[in-house]
Amino acid sequence: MRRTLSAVVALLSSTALLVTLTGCLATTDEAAGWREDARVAAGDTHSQLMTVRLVLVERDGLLGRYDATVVRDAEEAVGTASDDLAKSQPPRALRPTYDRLTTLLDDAGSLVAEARTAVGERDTSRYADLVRRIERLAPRVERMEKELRG
Amino acid sequence: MKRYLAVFLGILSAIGGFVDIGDLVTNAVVGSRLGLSLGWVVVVGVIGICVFAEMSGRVAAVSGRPTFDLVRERLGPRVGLLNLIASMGVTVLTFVAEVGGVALALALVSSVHHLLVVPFVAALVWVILWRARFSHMENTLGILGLCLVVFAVALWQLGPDWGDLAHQMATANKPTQESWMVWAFYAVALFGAAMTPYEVFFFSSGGVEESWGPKDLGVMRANVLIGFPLGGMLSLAIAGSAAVVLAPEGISVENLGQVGLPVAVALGKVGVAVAVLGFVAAIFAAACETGLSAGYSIAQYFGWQWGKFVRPREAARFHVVLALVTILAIAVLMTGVDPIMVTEFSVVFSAIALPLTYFPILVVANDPDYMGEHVNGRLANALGVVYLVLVLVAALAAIPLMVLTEMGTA
Repeated sequence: MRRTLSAVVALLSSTALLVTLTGCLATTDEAAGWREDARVAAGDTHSQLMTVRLVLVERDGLLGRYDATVVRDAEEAVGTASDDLAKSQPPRALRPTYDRLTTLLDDAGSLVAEARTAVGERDTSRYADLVRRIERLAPRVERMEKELRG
Repeated sequence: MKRYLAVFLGILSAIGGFVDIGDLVTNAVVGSRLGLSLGWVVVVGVIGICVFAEMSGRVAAVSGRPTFDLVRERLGPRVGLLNLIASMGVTVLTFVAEVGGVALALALVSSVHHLLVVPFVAALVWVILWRARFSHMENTLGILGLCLVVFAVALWQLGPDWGDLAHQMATANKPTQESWMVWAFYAVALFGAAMTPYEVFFFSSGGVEESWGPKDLGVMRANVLIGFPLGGMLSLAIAGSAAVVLAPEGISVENLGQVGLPVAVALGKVGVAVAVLGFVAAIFAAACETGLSAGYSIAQYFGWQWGKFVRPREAARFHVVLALVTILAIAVLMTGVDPIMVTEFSVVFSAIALPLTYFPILVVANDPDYMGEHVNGRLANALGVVYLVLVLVAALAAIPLMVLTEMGTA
């Protein structure tokens, strides 16, 4: 009887240990997976912000609607990065990071949309201000990407 | 004089025709993310395509028959079918990417969404495949594709640290933030882009279209051994200009518009105009070549009359295939799939299909019954075997790397 009880206890302990370990692993995997998705979103957004900056700086070097097309594509890409991230559920521990990142992505989306309007309207008087704002925002997005990279 | 002109024209067409949407996008992506650390892959890939293009061109010139025709006859219908399925799958995927690429290039300067342009581009490709003379199509588009030389001019104008670029290339010195797995994935993609199977089928079938004989072997070799390496230099220039302008800014290329930005920085509006003309011409030429290659492959396998050297009525089934492939491209692109994503898949799947494409060519080029005195020599065989090992490694690594790196994004 005692031996049976010991076996049951051992089995239950092992199961509990296994469940705990698996749970930990799952949580770790989930966190790592989310961090990777978030890093990709931050990286893509930084890349697009810098693309828009380059278009605004090189405004005299781009012909026809080339600049407008590049900025429109950038806006779409930032929107896609933001949407993809919104679809993934962050682990509880990473909630503050999620909030900071989504705020940054929202800011980037708004800024690129503003740039798209300015480029579409050929309102070059707004370019310098847009470039300054991108130069303030882009390093923050880049820092976030590095933080997520660990 | 006429002969020298033909050689010169052939070389120019080969240079301009070497770069397609896969080369443009992959080289720019790699340049912006990994600098010139994978430049050596372009060199290895160019040597590989020269080896097999020379072999298949020689087969066509000596036997007067194209590669697929001989593969089926020499290796039997089963191996021929395997070869057909592998290369057709990749060629059609590449054709879809090229048609979408032309639409993207036109959208750059028109601001019209590329989906609205796709049907017109596809229709124009089909009309050219149906009506235009082979030599006119090849030479005109190939020479217009030379506008991509603007990337080399831009790189020169940017005044980079040539020593640093050479060091990156020689030491495979990648940026620290990118993993070796991603680096390996792009190595396979670049290799696949440089050695795209359709180039060999188009080249050998083109030889038959232009009635090459053994006396044309010199012209053929000049086209391959001068034209393709110079075309490869264009690929390196695209990667180099992205490495110099985009990488320091942290810009990772995701669309065709970004590919032209280094030219804008270096040369301004005129440079961009030439670059866009180069994009349209080079990708359009590749669309025509891949479309024709799809028709060539199927018609040659089934033994139908094929080619543009006969009237469309005489090669009706060949032209039906061209029309069907064009309709398929429109249908796929109108689903809204991103042509750049299709391009990325096409270069990776090219790498997978390489052994099935190149092994039969090596076998046929070694058969004295077909080749007579022009059978492969020791050098051609040694290079052929080395490259078969390389393409096998690339083919085996392609899918695991694609999954593990999530198409290079992870």
